[in-house]
Amino acid sequence: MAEILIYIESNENNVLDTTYDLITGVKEMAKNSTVSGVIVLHPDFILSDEIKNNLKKYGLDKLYILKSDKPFFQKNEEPFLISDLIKNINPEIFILTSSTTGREIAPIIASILDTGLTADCTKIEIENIDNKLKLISTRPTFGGKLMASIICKKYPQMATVRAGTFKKEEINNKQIEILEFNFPHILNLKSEIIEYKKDKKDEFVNLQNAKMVFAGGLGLKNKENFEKLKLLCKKTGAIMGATRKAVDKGFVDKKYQIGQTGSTTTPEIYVAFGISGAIHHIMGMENSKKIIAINSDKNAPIFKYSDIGLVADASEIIDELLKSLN
Amino acid sequence: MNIIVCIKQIPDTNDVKWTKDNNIIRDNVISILNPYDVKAILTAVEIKNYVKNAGITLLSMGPDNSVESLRYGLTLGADDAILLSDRKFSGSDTNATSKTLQAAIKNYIKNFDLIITGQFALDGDTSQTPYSLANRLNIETLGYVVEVNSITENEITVKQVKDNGSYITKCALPCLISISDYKKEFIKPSVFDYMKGQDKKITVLNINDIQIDPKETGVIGSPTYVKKAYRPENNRECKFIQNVFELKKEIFNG
Repeated sequence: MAEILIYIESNENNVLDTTYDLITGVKEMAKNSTVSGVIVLHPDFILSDEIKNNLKKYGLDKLYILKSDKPFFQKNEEPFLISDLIKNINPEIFILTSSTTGREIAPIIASILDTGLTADCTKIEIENIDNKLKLISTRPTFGGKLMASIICKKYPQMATVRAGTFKKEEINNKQIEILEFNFPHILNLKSEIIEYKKDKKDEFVNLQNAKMVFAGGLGLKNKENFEKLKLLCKKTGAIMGATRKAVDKGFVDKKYQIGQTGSTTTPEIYVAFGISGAIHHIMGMENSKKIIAINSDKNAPIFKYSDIGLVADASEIIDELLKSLN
Repeated sequence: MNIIVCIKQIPDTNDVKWTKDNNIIRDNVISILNPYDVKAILTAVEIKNYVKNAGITLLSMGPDNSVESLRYGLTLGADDAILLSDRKFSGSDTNATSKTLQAAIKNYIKNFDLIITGQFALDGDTSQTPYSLANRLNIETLGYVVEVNSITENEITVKQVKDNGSYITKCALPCLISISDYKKEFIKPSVFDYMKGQDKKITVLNINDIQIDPKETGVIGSPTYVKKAYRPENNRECKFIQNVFELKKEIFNG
């Protein structure tokens, strides 16, 4: 049976939700293929029954375990270990999420295997033609102004897929086969991580899994208004986001940035406060379910991408919302 | 110390115009130097000011008019520049591009201690070429670099900011660093810088100069190809509301 391999991304003790999303998305598209995953286990990571069960539940048929003796945040061995696995099992497709980790290891693997790789896709399709799988990867290009559907002539066909493209769902998957591989390796890697600081982003700026996002742009004019927006988020349980321009102006930290070169978010409700609607921002939020925009310029492009619009000064609206919540 | 900075001239994506059939009009589009590559050049210049006997070579692959971006890079403080320009290179995907750059570095430039690139190019935004190039040269990539902490003749230490946190990483040279941010203030080049830039050398190389197999570059050497390109759909229609009361209802009551 044709096989599709997925990179199982983990942090110190868990598999990331974005990986579960990807597993479900791929399994639903390729019901008659084996959907397998590769995880590189770092020393302190415990592959619990709960994790195995989750992998199965969301659609994984097979799990390959590789081992590294480096700490979990050091990934530089992984492309070489995974390439060895791929040379042994020859999957037709290999997919990763387009996190910084996925986007760093995927091109190294593609160059080792001398195959093609499509970056940061917002849509993938898998066709089965005479028992051969064909991957069609679609991604925004030209700063989001053009969508390109890309085919790969070599195997494995590789792609990194943007968070939020799929949502995890329980699939009636009966079993998961678990195989451990151990490839002897002499890796002469020279980089060494002297210090690693976990970002608070994991807890407070989880834009990828947010249900409600309040984002601010240049229309908020200053740092103080972003502090007010932060307070509004705190009171309502929303996650704060920002545009690149607001970040560049120093109004808010880069970890809040949504869009090209920032995070992607697909909440139920997305509210844009003083955001004009530059295409590189739209790319990061356009798949939100309901989009509401507040902007003083009634011709601002953001309204073209919104369901609900309010022509008003965004910072005054924040003040009024805060007042009404007290 | 020989520093290579790989740069790319890109169409200004804010200047995109469409035909009636939703095709991008590529003629007469304004070209700019990719903003992340400007950060890469500035990082190189900063290193040059700090390390003895450092030289900066710009390397770019693209059409002949890419000399404009290379010339601009020279005014920013690079010493010389190489343009890989040959019709046989055109249509290269990231795999073929990295092979072509590798051939130029291995067969023509030969000696290097450090390669610096921008993390992204704003047109394609794949972020793949740096990693692919480094791996083909058997060196490591330090990606998402926001700061160079220290550098000696043998070793570099950088700060990286990724999804899951920040890193201080050191690596023996040669290696490749990919720049995602450059925090220092950008000072526009002066008239004097422009004059100096005019005197610096740009070497244009073709497929024979860099000794790459024609099967490994351009459309033929690219494992990926674009099956179709189209304008993104936007099906939303905006309903305008009038006040905060209505806004609260829209946000909190579905």
